[in-house]
Amino acid sequence: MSARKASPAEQARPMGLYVHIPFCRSRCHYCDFVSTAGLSRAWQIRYRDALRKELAFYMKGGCVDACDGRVAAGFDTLYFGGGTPTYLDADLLEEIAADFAAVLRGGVRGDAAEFTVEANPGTLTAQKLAALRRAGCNRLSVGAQSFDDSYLVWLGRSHNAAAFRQAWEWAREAGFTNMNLDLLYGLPDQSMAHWERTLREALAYQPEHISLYQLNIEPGTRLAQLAGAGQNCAADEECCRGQYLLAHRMLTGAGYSHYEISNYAKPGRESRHNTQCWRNGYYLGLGAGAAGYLPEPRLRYVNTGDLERYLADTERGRKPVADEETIDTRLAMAEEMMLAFRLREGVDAGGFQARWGVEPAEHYGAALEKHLATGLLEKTRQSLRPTLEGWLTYNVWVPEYL
Amino acid sequence: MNQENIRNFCIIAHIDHGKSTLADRILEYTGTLSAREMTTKQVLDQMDLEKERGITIKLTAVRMQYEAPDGEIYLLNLIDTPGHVDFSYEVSRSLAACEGALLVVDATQGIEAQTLANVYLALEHDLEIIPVINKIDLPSADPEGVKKEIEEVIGLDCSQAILTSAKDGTGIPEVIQGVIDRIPCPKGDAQAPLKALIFDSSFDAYRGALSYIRVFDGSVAKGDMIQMMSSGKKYEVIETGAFMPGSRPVDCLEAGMVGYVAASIKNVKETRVGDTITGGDKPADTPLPGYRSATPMVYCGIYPVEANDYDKLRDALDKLQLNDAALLYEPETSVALGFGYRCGFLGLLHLDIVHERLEREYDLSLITTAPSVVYEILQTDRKVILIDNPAKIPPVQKIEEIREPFVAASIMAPSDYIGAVMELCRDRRGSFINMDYMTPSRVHLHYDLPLAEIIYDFFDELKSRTKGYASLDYELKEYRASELIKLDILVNGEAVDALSVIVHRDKAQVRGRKLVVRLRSLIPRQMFEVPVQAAIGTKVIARESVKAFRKNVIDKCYGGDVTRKRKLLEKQKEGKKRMKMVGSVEIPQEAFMAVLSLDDEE
Repeated sequence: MSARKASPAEQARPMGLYVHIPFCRSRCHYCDFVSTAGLSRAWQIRYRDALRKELAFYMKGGCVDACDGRVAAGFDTLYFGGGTPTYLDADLLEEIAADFAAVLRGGVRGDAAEFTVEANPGTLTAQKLAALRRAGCNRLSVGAQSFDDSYLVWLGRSHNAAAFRQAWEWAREAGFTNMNLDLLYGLPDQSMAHWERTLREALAYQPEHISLYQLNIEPGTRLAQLAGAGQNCAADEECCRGQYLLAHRMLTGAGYSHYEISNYAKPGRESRHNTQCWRNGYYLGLGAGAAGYLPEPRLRYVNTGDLERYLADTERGRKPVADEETIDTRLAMAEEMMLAFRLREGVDAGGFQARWGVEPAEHYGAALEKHLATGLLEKTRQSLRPTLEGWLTYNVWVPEYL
Repeated sequence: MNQENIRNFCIIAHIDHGKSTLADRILEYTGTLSAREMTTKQVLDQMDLEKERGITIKLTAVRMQYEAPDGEIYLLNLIDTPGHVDFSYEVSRSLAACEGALLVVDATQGIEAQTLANVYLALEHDLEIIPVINKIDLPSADPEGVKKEIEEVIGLDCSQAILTSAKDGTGIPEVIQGVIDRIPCPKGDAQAPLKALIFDSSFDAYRGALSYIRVFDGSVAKGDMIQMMSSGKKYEVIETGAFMPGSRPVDCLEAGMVGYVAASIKNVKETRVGDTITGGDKPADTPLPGYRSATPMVYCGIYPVEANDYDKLRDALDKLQLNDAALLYEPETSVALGFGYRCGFLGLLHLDIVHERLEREYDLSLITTAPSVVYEILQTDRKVILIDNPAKIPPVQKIEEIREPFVAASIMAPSDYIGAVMELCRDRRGSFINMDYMTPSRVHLHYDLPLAEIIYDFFDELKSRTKGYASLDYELKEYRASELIKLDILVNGEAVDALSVIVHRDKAQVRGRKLVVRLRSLIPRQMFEVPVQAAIGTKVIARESVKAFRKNVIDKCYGGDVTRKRKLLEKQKEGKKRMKMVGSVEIPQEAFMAVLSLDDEE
């Protein structure tokens, strides 16, 4: 395979690194991410070694000498997702975190690079938090989901509201000054008043960032089973809409910007790693089930989600990629539109033109005009951005750009 | 060959009474096709659709060369006939080319309305009819009862009826001997100028239009000049042939024979079915009697879902028409659907088949509007106009009277179901003419019914109310004034011309109500609430609404899985392909046919 060189413009784009940790204490009833519950230390050690090897494939230039220069220059953001990264034993967690922090551009210290770790309150200890800080982690994303213990039990979460409070306090004490709080809405029989209380309580923690997700019944999950058996597992559409709008009012009123469909942040506290993805940026994904997007030729890939397979492939020196797709220009542009409409900033006409050599209006004129006329998009001086109504019905109109 | 050794015959049978199987057995027995060649069952039904549905749509003709036990060689021509009422005109075409017919009746079912109608047609043509009682191998077979029924109902002597089981081959030699002994040979004048009847045509990319002919007088061979008697146009014959069953060239077609001629005719329209072909140099004085040409009874609009496909649709219709002279079409425009064609069909089955062939063989995605009959409108200025599209009805104040086609319907059913049949006919605005008992347990009912009521699933309903035992035949009788009104459908406040229907005043309320309820369930949710209304003039008589999307968004989309999310959205886009934008609302194909399936609901 010929060596792939990124064009200077693409070279200059920031690049993210995502590491998937597919371990959990127990499986939440709504979750369909790649993860296995309750694995021992021996597995964790094998997994650590596999991650190191997998990173080496890319650093030395396997199929992705793609990013030769790019990877060598270091990553701008690092994200540990799961699963539950904080399920790992403290020493292993620190070791792995330190390993990857080492490839961040500008080094480990300070806030030059963003390094986020997802945490489950039930698995956090002061010891693990200190370990993460030592390794250079400077952003923590904590899954609260709800402050109502009866919902937490029903969702299959391994913690209660009190455990969350404790974990949050420990994290602040450990020196985390950039924290996200995750909540679920659209829970069955959840009243508006209940949701309002939940949001109030979340605000009381003064998180720098808040993510709100509607509970969805994914196939293959425990909730799907319950729903199949006739249990009421979700709120209706009208109710979800009401909760979405209430959250928008309350959080923007409290000084957060609603910068992405499901995400709110205090000024300057937007997730850099995810924003990069939504801006159609590149990122290397490592670990079982991880996905990545590499430049020149643009390639999206996803690793096998089967843990044993992942380990076996990597140990044998083979990339654990299960599926890949070359993204031609047409598709890349379509994806850029699709992703940009998730962001409040929308599509920047100048930026789009600079990257693709064509104005969005030239290429998507009819759709843009229609969506502007129907109030799903609005125009600012430089950009086309989605309205609140546009976000609420994103699935319905965005396919027109694909 | 001597005309005395030629027999031209057809088979008259009700659908499912075993006609195609019997034909196969005959081909096999005469050695026209070996059992091995009969790999796909039912050789005569060539179209995929015919095989799938087990019906005959296009007629075909097969020449069999047969050595009789006495050593004589006979040329037997079997001309196939379709069994469905929609295609009854094709039956009369094959009858005109024959001297005799096998009347095949199922020994467990007895004679059916459609068969009866065809037998009468055959008798009008002076055909010799041989009754064949089929399926005698079945335990419930009652050949004696069926014979008696045929004698009583048709008045046909059944003492020499042949008993067969096409399935196991019983009686096949007797059928063939019967054809030879009882069907008269052709009696044309071989020396007279050529006179041949065109009973069908098809199009072949290499040879141009093929005329399927029955030669009555004279003969025709390669190199001859021929002319069409209706137009006087002359052509040179490049090939004569017969179907064995594939087309094979033969030297000459002589008086009494059936086959085809190819004469580099570019357009099938120039070989009009029913026309007479005569010699180019030595023409006959008078043409053969033609026959009733096909008149479309049902019209509907056919539109491409993608406006770009308009030309492709036109080409497809052109090609289909080459082999289906009964299909009529002309361009029309709909405010809602854009450019398309108004097409005329023999009946709903014909419509259905054409639609399916267009989509299947020409890879088109189409919208078919609800079928309509042709209305006669007497305007206040005393002018009478014909309307085949409800959208084209003049404004109420200009209408003096609307007349609709009525048919004389003949329904046969076991007497247990008299009540059910009468109730159905009453529901469909039928007027009772009379009823007679064919046998103590079977009745024959005559009704006058509006054709418009028949095209709305009348046949299905009849079948379901009589557990499948009733059969139906009808023919156009006359136009009558009726209390008809145009029912408009408004989607999102705008009248959608392609959804308008003409209904009887007494039924407008119920139809309108059902129609909007059905449309509500068919029209997918949109970005805004969409009212669906039924209105007569400016008066809204029913209203429903399609709720808007309130929230539909993938909440979570991290770098993780852009591809998966994109594919999810792409799938939604796929679903929209079969939708038509009408104003700002997306309406699926089925919605335009919704009016047809209204009665399934309750």
